Amino acid sequence: MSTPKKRSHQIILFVLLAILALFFLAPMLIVFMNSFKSKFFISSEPFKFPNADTFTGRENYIEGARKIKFANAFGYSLFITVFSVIGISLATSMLGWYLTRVKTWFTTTVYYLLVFSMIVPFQMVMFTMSKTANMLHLDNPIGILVLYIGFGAGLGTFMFSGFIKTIPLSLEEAAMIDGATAPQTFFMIVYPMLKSTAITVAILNAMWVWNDYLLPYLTIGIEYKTIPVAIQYLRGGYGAVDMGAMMAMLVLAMIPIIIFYLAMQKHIIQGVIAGAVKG
Amino acid sequence: MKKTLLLCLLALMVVGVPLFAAGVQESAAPKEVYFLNFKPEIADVYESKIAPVFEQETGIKLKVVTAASGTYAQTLKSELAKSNPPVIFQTNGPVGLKDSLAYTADLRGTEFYKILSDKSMALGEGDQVLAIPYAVEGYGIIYNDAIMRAYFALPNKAVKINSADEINNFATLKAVVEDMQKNKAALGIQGVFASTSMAAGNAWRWETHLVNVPIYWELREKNIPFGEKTRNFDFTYSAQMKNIFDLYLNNSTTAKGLLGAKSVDDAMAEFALGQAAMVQNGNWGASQILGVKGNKVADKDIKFMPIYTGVKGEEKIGLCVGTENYLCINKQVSAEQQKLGDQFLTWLFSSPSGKAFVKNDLMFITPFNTFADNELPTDPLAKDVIRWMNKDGVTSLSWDFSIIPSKEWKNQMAAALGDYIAGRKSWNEVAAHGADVWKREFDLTN
Amino acid sequence: MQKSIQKYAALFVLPALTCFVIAFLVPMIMGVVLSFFRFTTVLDGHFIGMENYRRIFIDREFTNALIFNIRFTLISVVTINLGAFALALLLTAGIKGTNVFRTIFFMPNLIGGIVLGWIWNLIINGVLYSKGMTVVSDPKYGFWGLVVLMNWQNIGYMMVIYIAGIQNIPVELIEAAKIDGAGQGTLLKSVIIPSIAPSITICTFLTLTSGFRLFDQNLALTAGDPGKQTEMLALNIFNTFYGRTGFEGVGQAKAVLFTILVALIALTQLAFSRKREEEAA
Repeated sequence: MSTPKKRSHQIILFVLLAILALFFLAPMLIVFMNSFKSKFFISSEPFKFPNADTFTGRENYIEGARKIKFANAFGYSLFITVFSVIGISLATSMLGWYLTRVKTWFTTTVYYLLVFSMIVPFQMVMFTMSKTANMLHLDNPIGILVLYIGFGAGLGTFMFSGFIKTIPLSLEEAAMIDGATAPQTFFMIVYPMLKSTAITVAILNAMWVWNDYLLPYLTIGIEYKTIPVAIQYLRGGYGAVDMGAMMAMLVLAMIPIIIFYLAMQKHIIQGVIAGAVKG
Repeated sequence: MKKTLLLCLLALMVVGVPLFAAGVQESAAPKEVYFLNFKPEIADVYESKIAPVFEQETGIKLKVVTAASGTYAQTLKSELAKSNPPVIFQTNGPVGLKDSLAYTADLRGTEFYKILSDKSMALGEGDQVLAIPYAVEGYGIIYNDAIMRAYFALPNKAVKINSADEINNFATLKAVVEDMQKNKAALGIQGVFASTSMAAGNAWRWETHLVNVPIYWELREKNIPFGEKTRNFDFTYSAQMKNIFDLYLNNSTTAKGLLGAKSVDDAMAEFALGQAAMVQNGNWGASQILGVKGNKVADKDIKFMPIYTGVKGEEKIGLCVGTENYLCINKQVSAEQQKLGDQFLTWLFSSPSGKAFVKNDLMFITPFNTFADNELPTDPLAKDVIRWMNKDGVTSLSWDFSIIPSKEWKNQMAAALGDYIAGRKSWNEVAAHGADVWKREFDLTN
Repeated sequence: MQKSIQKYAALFVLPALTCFVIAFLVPMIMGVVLSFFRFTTVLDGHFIGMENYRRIFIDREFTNALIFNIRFTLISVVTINLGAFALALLLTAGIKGTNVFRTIFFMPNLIGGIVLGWIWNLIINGVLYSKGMTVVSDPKYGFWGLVVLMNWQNIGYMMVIYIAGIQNIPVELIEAAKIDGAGQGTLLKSVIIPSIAPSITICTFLTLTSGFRLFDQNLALTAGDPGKQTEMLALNIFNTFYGRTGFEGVGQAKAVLFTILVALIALTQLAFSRKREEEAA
């Protein structure tokens, strides 16, 4: 907690952390290295550097991307993530404000149902939900947004409610006395104040939706494969795992999220902390 | 900041919308037949060769989806319950048919039924015909005759016979295999048998095909006719199954501990690359040998021998021949769609282009009267299956595994075999488990 | 003011609520009801009372998965929190490059479960290859593989929370303790740990609930092999629904039990922790 005065302490800790950091990065680097090896030499010697015999250049990337139509998977993942996040942020901020400002048995019940939904494991609803989604024709990339908003409602509303509780009523009351309608009050006055919470909600949900496997697999997985679904399909869709293609696709799957992370790091870390504190 | 955000969003929409819109379009095509394919080995053939030609000749779009290995039943169940279900799908026999009865249309009036040579091969309920077989297949031990000849040419070989055709019982097979394994360096192989693949979804060669042999012998001994479901299974021929299974395990290219990561594809590649001399599989595996880059086995050297296990009188048996590939048409789709389904199947198995695909790419031995003798597949495995089917003095073993009570039984067998390989179970425990679970599953499903 | 807001109830409430009802509430209720039915699709069931619940225990799958879950979650919760806390201490010591280290340790958390499982599938198989084994040769490889994976994925995340907790400790508290002659050990025990009790609560809660509900990583790393011995509850329920004909009702019953278990664990842990937090404050 306190800065070690001794320089030697500093150096020792630095070296320790550096070694740990290397261990943390190693798995990703190993996969990256293997993505350039021929598929027969991956399982048997994954820690060996590619040499003249085993190096295959971009072949794995091309073959893998072709096999699972990675470009399409990327498109679906991107579309679904971006629009779910926007949808969740908007819908849950509005609901959160309403539930906090209006105290009736109805709002209290809804609030607790939402909180409850955060704990319920997905397996409880997966079968029935995929059937209802199909009956309501929600099993396509647009319909799935409804499902994600539904599943994201719990966390989003919880976080927005938590923050709104700390905002004094005075501003809103003043606005409404001046004749502003509820929507005007919300969008003009309250929403701008929610920026930091909105970012937190956006980031937490983006991370969840982008990496989600079961929901898209069960509802749209046959025709529209998002990245996680496409990767898992590599496992059995062609009779055997093409390790070369798998490695290359793993790399491609990691790159977007890592870029996003490096660009938005500060916000992500803040989001994680805010999410935890509210909990 | 807001402006850039907005621009980014617009950019994303421009990119994202057309990508998924393209996908949405696919499902709204006017004349389309959705076929849920069971065989991953030939998925590519349907998608890249057959579908375009079919569309070109008939204007009907063929949508082929292939279920991942080991997941056909669950994928089918899931897809059938959706609003755009498969028009054509498979069942694997009487047990599988029972699960899909709510969806199987009566095929008596179809063109497809008309071309079936032996109508008794179709499955149904009462008078209705609900499932038509489309590929007669045979399996046994595939061997590389070139390596066998090299073995028999060894000066210090331990057996008296001189060619692989002379192997006609387990004792001889064991002697040959073990001697070959001893001499594997001289023969240039890594092991006699290719990997006994046990990766998830890849254990079907043992939990279904190999287990068929003891099931067959026990049912015949108990005078239970082929196709009749029974609770009465005691795994009385388990010792014989152990004989051959041990032979596969102990004379292999791969150490036992690594088998859990090996797939059927891996095993077939080992055979094709000359690393193994034998592999248990069926004639559907032809594409997996012939299609491997660097395939070292000449067509004329690819042969079959029956799976010998040490049963008295096994000199008279041939390969295991039968089918577990039946096609059904979904009765819950519109009459128009059912007709399109019929049209595709009839086209595939009777039109010149369709038959060419069946012969050269799908490599099916079909039970249809539309195929002349010169239109049968000419790949070495199909040819050898036909040779064994027509051999004098030899009876093919029927595919009695069609009456295994459930997929769960097969899963349990695979798990038990895995435990046996790892030394966690003795063979007696495997056999006892198999017998117990059979009865339990039979009770659960009847 | 409340009244004027209530006029617009539909606008504010309906979007999220409708989606919530469709995606969660209705399926949840249907799920509970259907757990007492035998069904194939959701509309064709017939009532069979507690039969599904009885069938859960017809074999040992559910029980074994439960035991696996408990062992796995307990070990993971302890190792992750200890590791995260230790790293948090190191990263609040003003070492050069702290931010870079923080970035690196957190990174694995961004990667999705399926991708994660496959990465470790490769690594573990590679390590075991020299012993002639694979991750599915023996259940203990799968078990420890999942523990390592879970740690790799979550230590960074929890570390960030602990860092925030530590950074929020009022400097005066630390200074006061030091003036009183407290050494590093006492500082840790009497000042730091009690002060970050809320962080401990939340990290324990998160690791407990996410560990118990693990699915994607389980599927990708071992798919439950060998023979279901590394199958966790979530995967077992999935396989019961989709892998066995006629067992959909049993799957739903298992899911109900699963939900109750998770809820009990979460509530117990929270109640216990809040009490400790109050005592620590």
